[in-house]
This record gives sequence, C-alpha cells and structure tokens, in this order.
Amino acid sequence: MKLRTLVIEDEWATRNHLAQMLQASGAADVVGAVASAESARQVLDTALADGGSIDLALVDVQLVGSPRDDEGLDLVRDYAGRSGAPAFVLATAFREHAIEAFDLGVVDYLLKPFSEERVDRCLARVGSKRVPSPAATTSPTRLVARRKRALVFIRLDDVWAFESAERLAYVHTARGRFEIDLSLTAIEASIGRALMRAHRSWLVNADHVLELEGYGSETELLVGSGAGEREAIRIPVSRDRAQAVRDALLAHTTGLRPR
Amino acid sequence: MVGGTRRSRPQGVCFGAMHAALVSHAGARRWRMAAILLASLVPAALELPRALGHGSRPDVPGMLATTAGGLVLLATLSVAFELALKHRLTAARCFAVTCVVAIAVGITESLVALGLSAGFGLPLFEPAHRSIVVAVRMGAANGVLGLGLFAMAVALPFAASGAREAERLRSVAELARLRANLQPHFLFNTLSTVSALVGEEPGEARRLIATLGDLLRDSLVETEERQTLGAEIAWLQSYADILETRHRGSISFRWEIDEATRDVLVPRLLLQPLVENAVKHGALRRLEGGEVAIRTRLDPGARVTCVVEDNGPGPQESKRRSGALGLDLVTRRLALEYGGAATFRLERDRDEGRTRSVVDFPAGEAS
Repeated sequence: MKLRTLVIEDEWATRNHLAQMLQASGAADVVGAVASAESARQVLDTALADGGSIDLALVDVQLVGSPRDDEGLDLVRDYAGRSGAPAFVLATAFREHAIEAFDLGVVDYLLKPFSEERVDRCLARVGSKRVPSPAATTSPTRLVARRKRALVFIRLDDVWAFESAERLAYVHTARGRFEIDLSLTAIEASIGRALMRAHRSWLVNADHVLELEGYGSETELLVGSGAGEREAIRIPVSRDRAQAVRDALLAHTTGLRPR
Repeated sequence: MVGGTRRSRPQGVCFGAMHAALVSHAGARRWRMAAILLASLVPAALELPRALGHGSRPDVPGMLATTAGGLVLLATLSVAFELALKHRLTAARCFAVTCVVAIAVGITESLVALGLSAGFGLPLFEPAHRSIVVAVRMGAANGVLGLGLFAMAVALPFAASGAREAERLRSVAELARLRANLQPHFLFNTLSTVSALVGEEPGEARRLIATLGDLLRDSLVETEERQTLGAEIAWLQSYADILETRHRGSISFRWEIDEATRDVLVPRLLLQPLVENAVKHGALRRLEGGEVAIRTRLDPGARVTCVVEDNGPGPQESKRRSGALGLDLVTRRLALEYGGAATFRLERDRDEGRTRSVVDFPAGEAS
C-alpha cells in the first residue's frame, strides 16, 4: 500500500519537484500539495476527522507568509501524536531543530536540495515505521484544491480535468473550478497519473468525456457529467495528440466500427 | 536576606549595575550625572581633614561654594565633551577643547568669587589672596583639578565602554556581512529551486545558477567594507531576481534609482536586511501577491535617502521578533559608520497600505 502523502512547501518549484519525486519513487501517492501552514492545517484537520486519510506529511520548516520562521515545526507540534495523524518528515535547509523535532516524533529529515536516493530512503524508513490506520483501506484517496482561502476535497473519480495556469493549475469538477498548488507537469506525474494529456495545458479524465468533436483539423472534447450545477466544459485537443486521444477513448468502447 | 546577598557579592552587583547603566542611553546619562555629583564633592571633602587638622571648625559656606563651583565646572565640561563627541573630534582636539573649557570656567569662577568677596564681603577669598593674579592662578589650578576629576569620573568609564561597544559593533557589522553572504536558508532554498527547475525549465535553471554565482562572488570574494550604492543596487537586483523566480507570481520588484546616488559609498549590503524584511514579512504575506519598491534619491544638503517599501499587511506584534534582528543590524551599522549623522526608521502608511523602511545618511561622509 502506497503512502498517501501531503506536501507542505511554500516555494512552487520545490513543491512540484517534491511531488514528482515522491510519486516516481513508487512508494507514495501524492494526495495534495499546499503552500501555506493555514492550508496545511485545514487539510490535516480533515484527514484527522476522516480517521487518518493521510499517511505522510512532508513539511518545510520555514513557510513564508507565516508570522514565525519555524511555522512548519509548530504544525508538527500541534498534530504529531494525535490519533489519525500522519507521520511527519521535515524538509529543511539544515538540521537546526533536530533534537526538538525527534522529540516530537518526526520520522526523518530531508535536506535541501533533495536527491532521489534520499527521498527513496526516507519513504522506506517511513514505510517501515508505519502502523496502518483503520481508515487506511476504507477511505478513498481524495485530493485537495483551493477556492480563495477555503479548501475543497475532491474524489479523484469526480475530476473532469486539470488545466494549467501560470504557476499553478485548476481542477474542473461538477462543483466548479478550483486551484491546485502544483504545476500541470507535477500533477501529470502524481495526482493525475491516470489521466490523459489532451493538450499542452489540459489533462482529461476519460471517464467523464461525453463527446469528441472534430471540426476539420480542430478537435474538441466535451467533458462533464451532463447534469448538475455545471453541465460540461469544452476542452481543445492538440493536433499532434488528436489521434492518440481518439484511440484511447475508443479503446474500451463498443458500438462504433473502427475507421 | 537581600542585603546579605548584595554584601556577599558587591563587585558583581556593582559591575552589573554599571554595565546595565552604560548599555542604555538614558541609563548612561543618569549614571554620568551621578558621577558628576559625586566628583564635585571631592574638593570640599579634601578641604575637610585639613581644616580639622588645623583645629578650626570646618568652613561650611566655603565648602558649599567649592562644591557649587565644582558642579558648574563639571556640568560645563560634560556638555563640552558631549558636543565634541557629536562633532566627531579627534582625541587630541577633544582633549584641547575640554582643557580650554576647564581652565576658562575655573578662572571665571575664581574671578566671580573674588568679585563677590571684595564687593559684598563674602568670605570666599582670604583677604591676603585677594588679587587678580592669585585668583587667575587659583582658578586655572581649579580648572585643571576639575578636568582631572571629570576625566576619571566620566570620560574614562565612557571611553572604556565606548571601546567595548565599538568592538561589539564591529563584530556585529562583520556578522551582518557574513549573514548576507551565506544566509544558509537563502542558499539552500535557491539550490532546491535550481534542482527542481533542471528538468522542466533548464534555461531558467542555468540563469539562476549564474545569478547565484554573481551573488556569491560579490559577497564571498569582496572584502571591502564599503561599496558604491550602484554596486549595492546591482547586488540587490540579483538577489531580488532569485526571490522573484523562487516565488514566481507572488512577488515583484520596482526600482527607482536616482543616478546621482550611484557613486555614493555605503556599507556593504546595508540594505539587504531591509529588502529581505519587506519580502518576507511584507509582500509575501499578501495572498494575491505583493510588490517591493526600492527608491534612492540625493537630497539637497548632500544627503542620500534610500526607501524600501512593500504593500504587505504591515508589521504585526508577533512577527517583529524574527524581523527585528535584521533591522537592528541596520541601525547598528549606521551608528558605526555615520555616528549620529544617519537615521533609520520603519513607518506604516495606513492610507496607502504600505510599510516603508527609510535610511538617510550624508553622501560620501562614511568614515
């Protein structure tokens, strides 16, 4: 069972990189990545209420925008040891708070900049110490997105598509469009690995594709539930990906004769 | 119980009190006043055993007059000494000035006493000594005695604590330089960003490495304590460039540099803590992203003003702790370089929602 992992890191490049490395290790499933201590607290509160739906939290010690220089450590102090709390690993520049951190039950340190080998070793260590929580097998993996300051929890099956924005991405669902603090590339490598790249800035959930429309050389997907607050959205398909998208969509269908 | 403790460790208490008094400005002034009061009692106290030895009764009005005269002399010297320090006179000039003041005040006091004795019959001068030549000679001697007392009671401790403070400031300045050089979090977080960008944006990663190289070269290799403001701004622009990349979309910088200020010499990396503070505790605390503006201008009267401004939510009580160290360094380095001639203030413009650090110092007068 892979470790359901939350990344808490204020700098976008490191956040994306960490999410990709964690997923690439094969030992972790990234379920969320947040940039601030405030968001992290909301996610952790929900995870605790769910009976422990996050196994590992990777925390940067210095989170900018926080009133203190070691806000990440405060976070660990507040959650470590509580029932349903994840294992904590600190991501930091150096072992400045080592003694206190290990007293608090921090499992490991990842020193910046990270190497793949070190991330793998860290995950192995966390995995070997983990006591599976009761909720581990029952609660489905949910991802975390943002609408202004509110956090939104979304089941992966409910995702229609991810769209890249300037330094983050949007997730589209029947409930609306929300922000995710990861780049589309990082999402494709982690949370959205089961999804299909239809366009440079779009990852699409094939299960929610309603229609494939071709207008001459232009191809578009109609994606949605066909009901509810938002019925569907139109997503462009790049010319060089059109054939692959078409093949993938038709792979598990019947009723249409292959052309 | 308390008294016993105090008696058992008199030296510790005394040193502690003196040290504490010298550390704070108001405390130092109070301590100096007490020293002057005590020192002014010394001439009268010296008179006491002599009078007792002669078997005559102590001359109370005479001793009071001596004490009053001493007090005026020492107070005047104290003012002169402070003025000399403020004008940053050399030690020799400071000595010459206080000497002249001491002798002049001594002679004046002596002549006034002579006048009062002759005119109103006050017993300030023995009849045998009532001549201008004697009065001038005695006045001069009193002045020199007063100067000696002043030196021992006020100038000496001041110089000792000043030397300590100067040394401390030097090490603080050195620390500041080192801090900006290799602030470990800055360096490691930047390396982490570079490492993350290598895969997705290799061009950006290469550019970041080159910029980081410039920063490290300037701060590791250069040893001069001062550089031109132009070079300082160039360093800050590289520093800002790295922060802008690391927090892409969350922060932007604006530069309004008065060309006339570029050649002015400033203590190396003086403004770095101000920029760091504006970024960390200002602009980055804005959810929708913030802006930092850096402005310099040359004012009439050859003064340079540097302003670092951010549009963050403003100082909070809890955050002052982490930012205070950097701002404290700026204050101390300015004091070390410019004496009282430079100012630093942190102000909040509530109407515009901006926080401003303002540094103001004389152009080209760094000593």
